Amino acid sequence: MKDKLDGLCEAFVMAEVGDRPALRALRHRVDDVLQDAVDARMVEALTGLGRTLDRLLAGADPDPDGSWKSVEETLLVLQGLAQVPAGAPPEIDADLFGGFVVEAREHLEAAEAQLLALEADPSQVEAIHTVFRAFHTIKGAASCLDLATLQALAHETENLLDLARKGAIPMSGVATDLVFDAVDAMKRLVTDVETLMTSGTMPAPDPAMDALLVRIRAGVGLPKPADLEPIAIANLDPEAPSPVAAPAEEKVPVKEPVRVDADRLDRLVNLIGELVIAESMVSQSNELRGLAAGGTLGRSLSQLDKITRELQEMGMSLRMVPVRPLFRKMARLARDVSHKLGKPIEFVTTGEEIEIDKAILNCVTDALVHILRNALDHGIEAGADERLRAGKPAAGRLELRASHREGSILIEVEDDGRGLDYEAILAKGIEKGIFQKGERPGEQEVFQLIFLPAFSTATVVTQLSGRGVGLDVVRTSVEALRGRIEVQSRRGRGTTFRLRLPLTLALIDGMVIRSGGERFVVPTLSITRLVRPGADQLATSLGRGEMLLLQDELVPLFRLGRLLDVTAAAEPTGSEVAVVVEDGGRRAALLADEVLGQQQIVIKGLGISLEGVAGISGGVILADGQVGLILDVPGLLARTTSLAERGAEVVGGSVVVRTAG
Amino acid sequence: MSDTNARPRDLSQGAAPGKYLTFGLGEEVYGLEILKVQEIIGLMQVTRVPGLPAVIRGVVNLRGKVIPVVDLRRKFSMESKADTERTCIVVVRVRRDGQDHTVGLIVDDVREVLAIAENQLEAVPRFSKDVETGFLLGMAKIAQRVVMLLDVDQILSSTELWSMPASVGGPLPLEQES
Repeated sequence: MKDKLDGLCEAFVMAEVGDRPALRALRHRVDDVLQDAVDARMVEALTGLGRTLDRLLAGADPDPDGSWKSVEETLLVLQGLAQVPAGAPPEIDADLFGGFVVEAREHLEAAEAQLLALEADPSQVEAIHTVFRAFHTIKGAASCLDLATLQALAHETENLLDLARKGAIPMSGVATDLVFDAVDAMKRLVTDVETLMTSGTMPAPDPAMDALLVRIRAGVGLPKPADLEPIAIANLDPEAPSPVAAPAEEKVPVKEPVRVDADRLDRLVNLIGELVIAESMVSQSNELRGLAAGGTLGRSLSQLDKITRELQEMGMSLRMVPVRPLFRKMARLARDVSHKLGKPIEFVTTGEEIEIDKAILNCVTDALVHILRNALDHGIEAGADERLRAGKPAAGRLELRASHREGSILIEVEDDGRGLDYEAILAKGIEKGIFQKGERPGEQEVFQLIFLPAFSTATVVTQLSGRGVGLDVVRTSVEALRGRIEVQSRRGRGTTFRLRLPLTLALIDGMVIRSGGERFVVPTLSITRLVRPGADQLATSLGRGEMLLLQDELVPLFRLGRLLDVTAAAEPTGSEVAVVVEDGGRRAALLADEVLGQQQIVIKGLGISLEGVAGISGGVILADGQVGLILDVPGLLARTTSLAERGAEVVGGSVVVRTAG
Repeated sequence: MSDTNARPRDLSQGAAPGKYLTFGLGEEVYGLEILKVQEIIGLMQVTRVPGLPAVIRGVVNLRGKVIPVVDLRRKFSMESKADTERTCIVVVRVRRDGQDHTVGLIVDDVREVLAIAENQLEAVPRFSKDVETGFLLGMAKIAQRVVMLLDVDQILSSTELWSMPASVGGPLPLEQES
């Protein structure tokens, strides 16, 4: 029954744009369905439908448009009737609905990507088909689950796309915008379905939905290509270079995916983390060390070690997802913002296949949105003339790149716009009392200011950005992921934001150091070098601030024991190690009694609010089972900055801040 | 104490008859509702967390989970005393802001599980103003001894454990149970 109805709907779509044979086919289908119909209301609706179609076929319909509308409505009613057995309350099958939500999102994302591709190159007819298929599939699934609004919207959009794929209307401008709007509306509806699953009630329908449906319907009546310059239909001009065949979608060997609940995955990965630690506790235990030397036990232990590592790698890889969906989202955003601002841009992405921990991906999305908006709003010049005068192409260029760099992920956003205004930022810095008048600090140091809260040099607050909220939030969120953010810029040439993120949140590399009887862990990502300082490298200023001389730089030095109130801090032994850490252009040396070694660590919350505990970001189970504390380098540096500045003054302001290269 | 005006407590909202785990702290005996107690562990190496108030002795590793431990002697402003063989950690679960938290309480020694009947319960008497009674659910008289029944949620919510609302806590909700 359902199949037949689907066939009927398809025939309707064909007939709507087609000719008499298609209409006749539709008429036959109606009879076909009528044979199976048992429900009285259905029989009635179908009979009515048949009569209307007969009238249309005979050309005897006084109001063909009105009749078409009624045919369509009747079809929707029919589909509704076919789904709900009268009187039965709709039952929510969590698996079915959950699967639908996931799949619908995938389809919508694919559709979005194709639309963007299509917009960039309208000759890619294949892309329209993909979008069409996406909507069609969702429509089918939605009708299975009796999701009438979704179904109706998908249906209308499908009609529009169908015209486009037949070349009846150009897939550009208004039509593209409509489909984009439809994608957005569908996404919202899918979210509603999710709400329905969790709360059992469907959110109130969006009043804008009807308006959208009307607009899409109106879109079906868009000007026919004959009324237009033939720009949008691909290459009808024989003189034009023959169209490059749309690159066939890369055929990736299909792997069977298994959907796993994210919580379970997290628990698995956490457990593997525990296993890694437990394993190292066993293999490093003093009791076993004597027994293990050379014997079978030793071999078994190293086998255990190997398997554990492999398991760990496997576990990590489970959480890794490519950045592609994120980049696509950004492409969409860039498109919308550039339209809104009227700044044409070319948006380029590279490294979409790079994989990153899903949790990080989720957290970094907002940060990227901020940076991208910023780049479009303030980076790219307002008018094409300004760009042309500067010898740049009229369309701005925005590049989003992902790559691996030294065990972490690098995400870069580069624009070829105005670049940061050194003078303006410096002036603002002086105004805020960060720099002295007449001071000429290095570029890097000045550019760092844009990450301070409420620090905006934009003269005009636009709808999108420039309110002084944004980059400080970006920085905080990146640092919360134990990542780093840097900015590089050349006046008139453009700006690059560089986000360096850990591969995974579950495990980080840490350096275990000792101060007195206490052990701390410094994330390896924050460490720039380890130094065993000689007496001639240490300088004291006024008995207060200590400095470490590193080549020709002076870095403020802090004794960990003192900084963290370690009670039983040992007397200086001369074998102390200075751990040089860096964050956001600031550097400091932390003097520890000893470096105990590297360890991969699973970060744990301490189960307490660490607000007000500057310098500690979490805990970790050390190899002997005790808890070690992870030093929060940005927090520590913030705490030490005032001290460092005092020290810097004493030595004549010669603290050199490294310019990131 | 945020609810100084709400006292004296209504007994019906205070201690309920049921099973209580009793433990000693100095000369006094205290009781905890058994349902709040997750387990009892021997005292282990506690890692100090710099910058926290002395009431929190630090954090320990409870089978791979890091939990804070509160020194009850310090919490009740009792004289500190060196740990002994019998010193142990009572691990309790408290609910706060819709989340379960596991916290360890360091006590001098654990006694027994007592079934306390309705007729053994008494309301908390009013002491002078400077005796903090907000975290007492009630008292029980058992065999000529008084057992003070603790409201563990009150103890821990009045503790410096959560100096700030959870929403502005750590940057990442790591390892929190839901």
